[in-house]
Amino acid sequence: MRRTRSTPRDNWAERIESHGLAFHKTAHPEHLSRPYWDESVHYVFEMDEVLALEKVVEELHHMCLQVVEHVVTTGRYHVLGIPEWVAPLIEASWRRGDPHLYGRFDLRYDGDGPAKLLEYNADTPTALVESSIVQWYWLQDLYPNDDQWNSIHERLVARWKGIASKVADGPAHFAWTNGDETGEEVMTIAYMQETAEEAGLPGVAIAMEDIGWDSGRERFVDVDEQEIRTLCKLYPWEWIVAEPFGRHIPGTPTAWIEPIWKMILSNKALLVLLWELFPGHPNLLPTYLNTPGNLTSYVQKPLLGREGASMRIVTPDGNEQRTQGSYGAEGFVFQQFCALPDFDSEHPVLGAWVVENESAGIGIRETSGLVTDDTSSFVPHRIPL
Amino acid sequence: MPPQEPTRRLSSRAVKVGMLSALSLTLVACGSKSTTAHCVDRSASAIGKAQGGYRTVADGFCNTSDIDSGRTSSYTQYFWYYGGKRDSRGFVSGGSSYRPSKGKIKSNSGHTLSRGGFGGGGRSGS
Repeated sequence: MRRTRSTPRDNWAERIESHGLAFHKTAHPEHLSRPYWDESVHYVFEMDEVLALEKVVEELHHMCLQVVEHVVTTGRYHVLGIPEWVAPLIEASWRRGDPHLYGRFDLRYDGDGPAKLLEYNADTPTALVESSIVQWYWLQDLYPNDDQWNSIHERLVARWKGIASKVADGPAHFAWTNGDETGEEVMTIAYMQETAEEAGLPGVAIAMEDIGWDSGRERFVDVDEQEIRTLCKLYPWEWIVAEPFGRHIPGTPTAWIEPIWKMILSNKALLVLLWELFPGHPNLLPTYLNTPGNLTSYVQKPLLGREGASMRIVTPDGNEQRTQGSYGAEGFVFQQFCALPDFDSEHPVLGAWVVENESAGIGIRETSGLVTDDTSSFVPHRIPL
Repeated sequence: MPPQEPTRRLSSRAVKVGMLSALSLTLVACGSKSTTAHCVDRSASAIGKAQGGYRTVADGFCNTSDIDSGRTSSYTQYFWYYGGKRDSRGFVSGGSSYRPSKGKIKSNSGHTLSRGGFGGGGRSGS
């Protein structure tokens, strides 16, 4: 793994906009001098290195599935702050084998030692369009003879074919929240719909805010009052179950994608349970619930935080740094502090994509600080053949 | 010469971006358009939304070619809404964001239907 400079395509902004990155300006704070999509640099990986990382990703994912089985079997939902009435829904969903689609691991990797799991975004991962499409076209434009760790698009389409055979006939609905004004989420869910349609599953777009509840039929309905049979949502489960319509979910046959059992994975307490079940695993960092334990330097993360908010970092020199945010009511995890690697004073995090149960590719985001937040920039990568 | 081992490629062979591309360019251009047509605002006030209605806005917010093509722009803030009833406050309800292609099923269950029970959380991706 190395970082190298390269000349951006003359029309790079128009190119990435035509590939779906409409939000590269709106989702990025305006005062930053660095664009969100930065192709003036990129990373170069060796094939052997990527093949080894693929194995790590799939092993981590299977360990996560074992955590789900553990929680469902032991009933330890309280560790995750999951409400009691939700537990039977998770158990039923897991036991039925409700189909799941995708997720993104955030990995610390410096090209040398083992990759370390920072977190798993298994319910509402974003940075999908830039990973799957935009960097793919970058490769075709500039390095058409090279390879890229990126079969995300192909795998999503293939996975939708599998899902389409398991869900009810008729269109699937694709829901996002119109509370996001940057366009990032609408583009992400529109992309999901496009991959589903390529797989032969027709889609209907709907904002979460527009979903209706028909108390006569006891069904969720769309703006045309048609039943929502399959709902692919870019909206977190912990919000869904806390909102008024959440109470209608028991008893309705809607197939949700991601399924509700993903609540166990989209929670930072996953990191605690992984360390408990697989102590000393080379790809895990020691993590504890509501206490730093024996850790002298650590990152304190809210169980249900997003975009690097509400974090507290105590570094080995004793300094403390906090990020803004109001998350944390459900509790915190304390994860051993492991500084992100330094490449030309930038700190990359590998967002490693999983489609169903297989590794599908990566997207790299860099920040100048310790926390990968909305100031980060996306940087493409290639594998010379 | 020994046969060369087939190399496994790690990248997608083809990536199609049809709808996504069109939608992206619409979002990028948002705010700089001044065409003449007729449309509704997704982020209407809570009063209208609670009743399942959309606030009508000046037609210029929507794309007229969407009507001819039957394409739905329901991801964008402003989109075409077909049919339904417009009340005195300018809220339209009971119609569809999809252009009817054959006989439209008329809404008849307004009294058992509620909306707005999800949402309002802001950005949700991670």
